[in-house]
Amino acid sequence: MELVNTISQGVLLGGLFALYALGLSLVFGVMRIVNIAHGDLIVVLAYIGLTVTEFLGVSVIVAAPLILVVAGGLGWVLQRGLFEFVPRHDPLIPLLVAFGLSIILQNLLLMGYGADPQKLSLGRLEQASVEILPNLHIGVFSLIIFGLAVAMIGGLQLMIYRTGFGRALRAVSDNEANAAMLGLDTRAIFRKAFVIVMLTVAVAALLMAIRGNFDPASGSTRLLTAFEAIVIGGLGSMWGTLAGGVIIGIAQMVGAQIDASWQVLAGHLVFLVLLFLRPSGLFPKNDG
Amino acid sequence: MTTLLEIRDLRLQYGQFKALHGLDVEIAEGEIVAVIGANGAGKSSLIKGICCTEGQTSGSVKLDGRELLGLTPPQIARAGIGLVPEGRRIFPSLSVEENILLGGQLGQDHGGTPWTLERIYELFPDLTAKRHLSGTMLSGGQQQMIAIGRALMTNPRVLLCDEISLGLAPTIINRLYEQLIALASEGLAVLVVEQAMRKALEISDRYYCILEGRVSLSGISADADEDRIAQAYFGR
Repeated sequence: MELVNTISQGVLLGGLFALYALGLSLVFGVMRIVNIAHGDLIVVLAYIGLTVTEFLGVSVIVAAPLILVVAGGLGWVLQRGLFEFVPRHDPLIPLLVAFGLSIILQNLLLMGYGADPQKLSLGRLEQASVEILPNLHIGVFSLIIFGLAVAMIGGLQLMIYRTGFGRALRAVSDNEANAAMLGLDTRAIFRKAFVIVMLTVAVAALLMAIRGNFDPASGSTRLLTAFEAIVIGGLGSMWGTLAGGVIIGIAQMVGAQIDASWQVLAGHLVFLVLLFLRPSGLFPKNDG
Repeated sequence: MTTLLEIRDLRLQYGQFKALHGLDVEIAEGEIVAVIGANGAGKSSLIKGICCTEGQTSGSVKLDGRELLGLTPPQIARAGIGLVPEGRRIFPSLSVEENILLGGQLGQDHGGTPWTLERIYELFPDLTAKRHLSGTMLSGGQQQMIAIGRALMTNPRVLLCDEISLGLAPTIINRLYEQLIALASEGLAVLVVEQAMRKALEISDRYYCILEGRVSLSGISADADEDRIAQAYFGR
């Protein structure tokens, strides 16, 4: 039962890792930008969540719609004011711009909030659990995280494969120059895409901030986990990203059972092994 | 016939290289106009100039009196210019149907019967059974049908076809051109850029021969004199 409990905790944790990775995967898939600042954007939105809840004196759930609006606006501003001006013919240029953005964001957060770890609270819901099998208790909040991950991946899949915007997104992802030549407004598509990316980032940020502590330097570990989930799952496959997140989650939980110091390391080791065995990921295709 | 697309003194340059030196071209409703010329003569540059997709342009391109130069490609598509690009440019991650539907997102209604998927499948029945396959899995001729269908879904008033016969078997080329003739008979203006001179003259009402970015000869296709055209085509 101990092993079942560990694995189920790992599966649920994988949902959070998949949420970290969703936006990163979209930015890379559509805009071909490796957004090194993705982890820091998660942390920025966690701090925005903290500020909004403290300023308004309301719970995260009440403040969430406002935080999502702010996140969407931030996405539009980032694309319109920064990434739109970045030449993408050489992938190194946007990579360096994102790296610079990452450093700027970390230092701004350090200046504004200090280095002390912060956390958002969800009250009693954080501790609540349900017994799904005899002696097997699952945290309600962990279930919510996993449910949100599945719902968001399903929603994004529907958007990408069942809507006109998704069709345009895939066309631009296939060949931006051809899409523009035929009359697709690629700039508008990129702006909308970045807004959607930041909405996923906001959800991931709030859940991360409720689940554990965060500080201005937390972004890099989130970025690394997101990258690992994407690579394990296979580039372009959202359900694969969830599978990747779940694998890292299980590895971390099993590692933690062996020794607490093994938790993070176990995730990275499993990633390295899978990268060696399946370099193109478990589900290496573009149809998710 | 009323002139629908009126191109005056169109110049196009890529950096320092001048591709078009002041072209005058007209197309009327329901007319098929062929633009012929050798490789590098400036035929595709004319299409790029009309669609404002590449290079710096000057002069005037008017669609039903509305100036198109200076507009963005999305605005030009909405204005009523449908493009069947050279090389077909089918998106591999989109199915046949999705590739065609993409056109519906680009244009807008200009009166007349709007194009629908059903109408496209009536025009090109070969595509019906393959509608859910990836567009790039189809033969060259069928991909060309997708490209034409996608352009028609923008509900264009003028259809620009860039080298649609390239790499296709003669029977397929004949079928495609038969469809274009049928479309023109319904009022669509069609501009066909072609290297295959005889075929272009056979299916068009009028022609323009381009040499080094200038119109070297123009006239009624039925009256075309092969010797004069050959001279205008090759410049000797």
